[in-house]
Amino acid sequence: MPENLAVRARGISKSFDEVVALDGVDLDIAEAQIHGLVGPNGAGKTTLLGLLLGLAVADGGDLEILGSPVRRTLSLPDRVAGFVDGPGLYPSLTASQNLAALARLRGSGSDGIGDALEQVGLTDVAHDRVRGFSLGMRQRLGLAAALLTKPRLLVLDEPANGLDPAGTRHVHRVLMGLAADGTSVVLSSHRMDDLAALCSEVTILATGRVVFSGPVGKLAAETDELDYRVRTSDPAAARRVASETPQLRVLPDDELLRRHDAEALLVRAAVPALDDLVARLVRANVAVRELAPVVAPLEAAFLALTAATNAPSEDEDL
Amino acid sequence: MTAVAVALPRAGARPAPVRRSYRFELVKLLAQWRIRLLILACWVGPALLVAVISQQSSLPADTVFGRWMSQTGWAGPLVVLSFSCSYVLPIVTSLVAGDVFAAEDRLGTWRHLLVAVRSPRRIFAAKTLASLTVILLLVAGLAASGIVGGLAAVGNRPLVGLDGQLLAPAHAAGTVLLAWASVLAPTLAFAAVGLLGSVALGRSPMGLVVPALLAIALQLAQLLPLPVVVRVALPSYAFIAWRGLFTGPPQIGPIVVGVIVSLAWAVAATALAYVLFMRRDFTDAAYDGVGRRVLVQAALPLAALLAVTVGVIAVATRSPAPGSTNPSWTAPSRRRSPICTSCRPESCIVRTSRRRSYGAAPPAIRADPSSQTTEPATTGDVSCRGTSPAPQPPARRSTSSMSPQTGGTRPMVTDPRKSTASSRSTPQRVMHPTPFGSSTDWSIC
Repeated sequence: MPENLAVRARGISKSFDEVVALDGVDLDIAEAQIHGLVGPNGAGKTTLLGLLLGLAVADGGDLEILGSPVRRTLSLPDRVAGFVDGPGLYPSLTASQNLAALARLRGSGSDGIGDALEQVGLTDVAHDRVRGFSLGMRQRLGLAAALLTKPRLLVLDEPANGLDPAGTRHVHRVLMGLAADGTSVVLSSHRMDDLAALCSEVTILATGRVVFSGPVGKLAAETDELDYRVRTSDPAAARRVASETPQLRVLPDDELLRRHDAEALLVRAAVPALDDLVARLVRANVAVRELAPVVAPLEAAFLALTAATNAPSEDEDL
Repeated sequence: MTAVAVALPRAGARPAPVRRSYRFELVKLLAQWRIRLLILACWVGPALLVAVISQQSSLPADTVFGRWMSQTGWAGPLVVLSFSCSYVLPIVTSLVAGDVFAAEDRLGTWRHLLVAVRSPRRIFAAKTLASLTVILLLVAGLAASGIVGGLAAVGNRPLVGLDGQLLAPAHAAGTVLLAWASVLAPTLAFAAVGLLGSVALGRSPMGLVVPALLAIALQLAQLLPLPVVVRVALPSYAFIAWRGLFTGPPQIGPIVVGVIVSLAWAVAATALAYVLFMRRDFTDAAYDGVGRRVLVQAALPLAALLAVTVGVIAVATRSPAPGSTNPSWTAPSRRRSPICTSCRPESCIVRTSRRRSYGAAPPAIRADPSSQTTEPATTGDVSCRGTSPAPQPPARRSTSSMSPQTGGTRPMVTDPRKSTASSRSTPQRVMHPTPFGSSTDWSIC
């Protein structure tokens, strides 16, 4: 084992009647790491998060959390916290009452309530009833409830859902601070920019199987081809050079893209072919002003890896 | 070499104790405005109602003990009890027990709760105990408020029993408290049915009204000419059996049977709710109750319980003492002196139901204050038997309360200070409610 693992799953399978939710899932999550979990709807993310929170037990395979095997429902070690499908809050209680009731339930004092609320930026509304909270405030309060336990493993499902940009940055800072202090965070989200900004590693699930698991940087390298937007000083010359570059395909003008930038050229290529294109453009005295992926690498990889199972949404997104 | 002690996490942290979970559930329940409003209503409402009604000239004479509300403070809590048994307690159990599980479905907090408590069994226990606590708090409020209102407005005076016997204030107090205690069992039964509905029907509002619907159905059943054993086997029977405490002598048997039946329902419905709850898949976010299976998993077992209860009671009541035609739990004096032994229970119920309108010709009791005994008097096909002298209401109120203005439904008791001789020479005529109303008169037949 190269490093201490917060989560070690081998061959996890889980079915609901005839529906296979997870099929031989392997997962390693290191300590002090923010690990992203992505996948199309129905890929098995929520089921996997449920297993990590002990809400269900796998039909097959081995699951170890914080070094302890999990063989029964809700038989998790201490200091595992989080939420699935939104935080569980009681609207008739105030923010601080929600946290206090939870702290008493866990047998811990109410000392950390103020700190938890401050961490997520809800000190000002500590005595307001949750009934009046926005979705983003609820998300942050749910995170505060999880922080009360001083978790070693934090499992979060769409924690940035409903957050404004400032709130998102606030939550990012909290999560990165937790990771810096040694907490492992499993983060499920459909917001690729969040995952790319936060996660050191990601796992992509599709139809209950892991299609990729590893560092985010490795994703682009493993992905065969991506779509890139190229802006140059001479679009016509650039188009000609690109069409002559081997293993690179010039894509037809996209209406949506043209509306944003009529001068741009859209190409699909792997990284070596893209390097070749840049060299040819320089030799042809065409200045490269911009070369960027049309979609974020993580999103592109996600779409490419899950394309086989999610073709309609791929078309829509592209 | 330095030894470093590393605290390894335990394999499977211990679930939160039931005590903490119970407190958590109680906090959640008491934070709801609906529950707070209920508590306020139950602790204040009866006192105000009893105090106001007791001072009015027109009393609720068609309610058991209603006619005595201006005579003694102990009649008020009994009127409240009677009303509560019909309406308030089923509604209270609906609003508390019928929502205690469904609320988590509506709020989507089951997973959060499970991760925090780590034991569905303890969650069930905590929720059940918390809802039970709130219901008991509400029932206690109804009783205490009614008693305080009655005593404050009218005073601690003797209570006239259903057979015309006079209960001393201390005796009346004990009996009133016992009557309230006896309805705890059917309240528990309704609460358990509420729990079952809350578990079985998920976030559906139907779960919230299950106890109320059951109460309506059972009240309708009591109006139908059903065999007596079926009526006794209904979980709501104890809601009317308490009236036997106020007959002379008290009819304890029906109360005991009613309490046992109610407790059987409480245990069965709670057990069913527990089984359904433990079978639930909490990872399924779309779970919304057991759906149509509720008929098989909840309704049928309770129907089976009713059938079994009917059978047990039928067998038990077919083996009374040799030579007796009465149920075995009927008071000995009743069995020795049956009023009408030839009628079938159904026909008896039909006949006695005529007495429900107390403005019409009431059953008469011939009271002999000097001998402290009464003999049964027969009026037509309605028989009734008194066992104690006619009541002597407090002098302060006797004149006004017995005046003709009070209407024919008021007791015709003469003020002892003004007409003692008359009352001794002329049998006093006391109109009183039937001991059990139309549904339970079979017990004296």
